[in-house]
Amino acid sequence: MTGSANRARVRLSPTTVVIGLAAVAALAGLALWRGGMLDLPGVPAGLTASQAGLADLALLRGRALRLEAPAGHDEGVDPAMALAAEGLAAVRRGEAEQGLEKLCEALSRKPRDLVIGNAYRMAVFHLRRTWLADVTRRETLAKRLPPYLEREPVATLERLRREHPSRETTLQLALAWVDELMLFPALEIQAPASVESVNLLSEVLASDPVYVPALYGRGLNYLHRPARLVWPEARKAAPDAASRDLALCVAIGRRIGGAPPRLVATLALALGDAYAKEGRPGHARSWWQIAQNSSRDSALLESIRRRFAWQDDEMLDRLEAELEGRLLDLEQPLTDLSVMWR
Amino acid sequence: MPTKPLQVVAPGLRDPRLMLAVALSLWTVLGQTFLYFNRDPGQIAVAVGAGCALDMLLAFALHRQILVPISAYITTLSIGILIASSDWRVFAIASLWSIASKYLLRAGDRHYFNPSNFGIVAAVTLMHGTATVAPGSQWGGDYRVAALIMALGLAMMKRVQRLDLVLAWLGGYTVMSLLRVALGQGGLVFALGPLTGAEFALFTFSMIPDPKTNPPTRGARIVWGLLIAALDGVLRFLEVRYSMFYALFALCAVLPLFRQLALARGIREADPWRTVVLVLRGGPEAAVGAGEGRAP
Repeated sequence: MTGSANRARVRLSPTTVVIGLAAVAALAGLALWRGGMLDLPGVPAGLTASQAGLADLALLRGRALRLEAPAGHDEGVDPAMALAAEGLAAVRRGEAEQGLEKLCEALSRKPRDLVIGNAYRMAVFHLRRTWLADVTRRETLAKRLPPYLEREPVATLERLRREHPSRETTLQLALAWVDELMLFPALEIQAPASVESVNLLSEVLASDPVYVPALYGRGLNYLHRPARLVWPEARKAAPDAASRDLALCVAIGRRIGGAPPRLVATLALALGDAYAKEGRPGHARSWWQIAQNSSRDSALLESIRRRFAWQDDEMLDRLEAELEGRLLDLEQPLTDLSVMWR
Repeated sequence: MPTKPLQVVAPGLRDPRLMLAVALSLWTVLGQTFLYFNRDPGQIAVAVGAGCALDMLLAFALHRQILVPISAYITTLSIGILIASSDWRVFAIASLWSIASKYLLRAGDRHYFNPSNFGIVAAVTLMHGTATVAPGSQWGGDYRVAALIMALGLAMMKRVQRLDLVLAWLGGYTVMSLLRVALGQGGLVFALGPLTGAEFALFTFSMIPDPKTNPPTRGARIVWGLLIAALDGVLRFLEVRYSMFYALFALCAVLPLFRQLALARGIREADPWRTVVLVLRGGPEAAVGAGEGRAP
């Protein structure tokens, strides 16, 4: 280069520098106030873990472990838990009907107990799934479930909700409808089951708008609905219905803190999926990145890697295929609440 | 008309491209082994092979030069890292376009489009649905790696005398990001997060500082960096993907105007490459110096 243009100094007066820095700081303050770090919705001041349904997760984990423990380790356990543990043990021994009766009895004694309710629902889920798989293997035309499984867990949980109306009993019933649609993935069952579930969860959220399990359940319901179909018997959900619920879950989780890394990553992944479905791929990838940073769970990381390979214009189709695969993963059903305390 | 002498043109030891080529190669190796680049080595090889071969061919055919294709290597390696496609032909075509742009799109005796930027923009525009830019998440989410790359990149920019341009771009990007968030577009993590990605780092430290495709004066380079940031910010606000690449492409199209302005002030930048030219036959003797081989 001729001359000294390349080495020429661009001189700024101290006043200009100070004014420039002040302007950038003001802009940063405005940006922080307007969008925050993660563009999450506001959380009510003074929110408690109990209001959010996130209190005592460690305690719930301990109770779940006791429930799974072999018989004879039940010293100091309350009678409902002891009965539920007996019921689960009976189911494992192959005495399904007697086992479920005991679990129902335990649930009647403690209807708001999420651990017992979840154990009951999951026991019924796995029994029905095993029975359906056996029938399919035998190629029997009549797929009628045995009477003790046929209307369960919906019938028991409906009765429980009538007798003990609470957010926990309504939540279990809403999740039971999702269990139904997972086992019977035909559209004529999926659609009404999803509608029923969303209605119940909306009912919970109308009186308890920060109850995280219900927000998560409703968000997942919206997320798993096919984007290009309108569910029969329901109005089309808003495009951002899933991301609104899931973003509020994440915001509440961040405020309360203390959630296990896998739960944090699961929520971030679901929120990324919701943004992908909404047609915001940039946001989706950012949340998948956050999920990737939050957990070292290999299965979760693998599913995030798959997502990073998607192009923008194929994202919706690939996501729906991925979600359908996840919904049909009956080994670890989406509705298993133990993800909260595991 | 006398026949042009046959020349061998190779980078000298002080050629800034050498350091960039080494850094980029190391980066690619680390990316393939530790940093989750998730690229197919075969596709990278296709991009590099096709581009280097065309560069050598055109240099020989048009300038009677036997070229060590260091520029083409840098250009096409960037393309191999940045483009994502399941079709290997995309990599070859993008590389060929990028090298061809150096020879075919010229103002006076110099090209004005950044070759790798040209190849990428052409690929994502003309092969839409087949070619895309890899998502900027290739560090495996490790902010320490991003910080290290940023520090090394800035040190390299100081050495190649393009720190002014890169700092202007980074500052402009930050201000535009803050502005976008203040106007209601997302949160700070989403606006500033791309700063830590591989796509951004490659654009910042390999693409925009290319001395042959930015203005020759310090003041103009600062304006250049700020203009890229401003245009990129507007495109991002409009949710246009690949905004950085489009912004640089649009500005490169008017680069000849910047050069004319500089020329009017009596400033003409010498060829920044430090090449070694060996005249094989038909010329007086071997020459060593800046740009004497007129490496394309």
